[in-house]
Amino acid sequence: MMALSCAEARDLASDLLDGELSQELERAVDEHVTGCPTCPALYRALLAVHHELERLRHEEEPREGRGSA
Amino acid sequence: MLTEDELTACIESRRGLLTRMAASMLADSAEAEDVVQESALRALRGRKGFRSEADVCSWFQRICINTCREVARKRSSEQNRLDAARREELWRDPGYSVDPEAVAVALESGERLRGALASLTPDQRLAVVMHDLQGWKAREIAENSGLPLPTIKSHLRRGRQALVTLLAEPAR
Repeated sequence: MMALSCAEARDLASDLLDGELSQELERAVDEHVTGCPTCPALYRALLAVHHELERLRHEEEPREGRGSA
Repeated sequence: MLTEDELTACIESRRGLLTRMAASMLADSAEAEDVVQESALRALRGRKGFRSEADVCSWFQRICINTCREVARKRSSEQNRLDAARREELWRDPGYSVDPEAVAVALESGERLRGALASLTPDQRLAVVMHDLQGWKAREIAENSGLPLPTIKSHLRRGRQALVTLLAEPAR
């Protein structure tokens, strides 16, 4: 199991919110957050901000098509 | 060659979406309308340079996003950049943490969240607004802004972290 620094775990936590981490990295973030005295609170706060932005997005009227470049 | 009618149809079909995006980016509805109008003028002036293999609406969208970034960058101050660097430094400090309850309370106020979004750097705001508030994929933001995907992802991470720090601070 890879050991992550706080800075690495905090950056990866953002990708974790988007479901973009490999299982191995997800486990590494979980393990770090479980044993860290400072990161769990930051992760909970990131999650709260993420949920609020998501809630606001769903409140908006349905989006028009935007296509792709 | 791209006709004025084809381009105008695209502009009108995207006007609402892009005005909302610009309004969130600039926190100013009137300026958002100006940005979309200026982008429409730029597109109409530059339509002879449009490559026929590209998608017209995506091309217009890209012009609009970049006009918006340009306006946001002009408004951004040196202090804004220094504050962003200070917040990034905090997140690299293993001893740094916040009170998640304070963040949850701050999130109950739309004004606090709008203020925090306005304090992000223009590129962090672009990433957070388009990805988290408007539902674009990071790849789509990269394609439409001309910024590399890893750069967009980095702005998204830093932007979200900055929102936490800003919301954890006592209200001014």
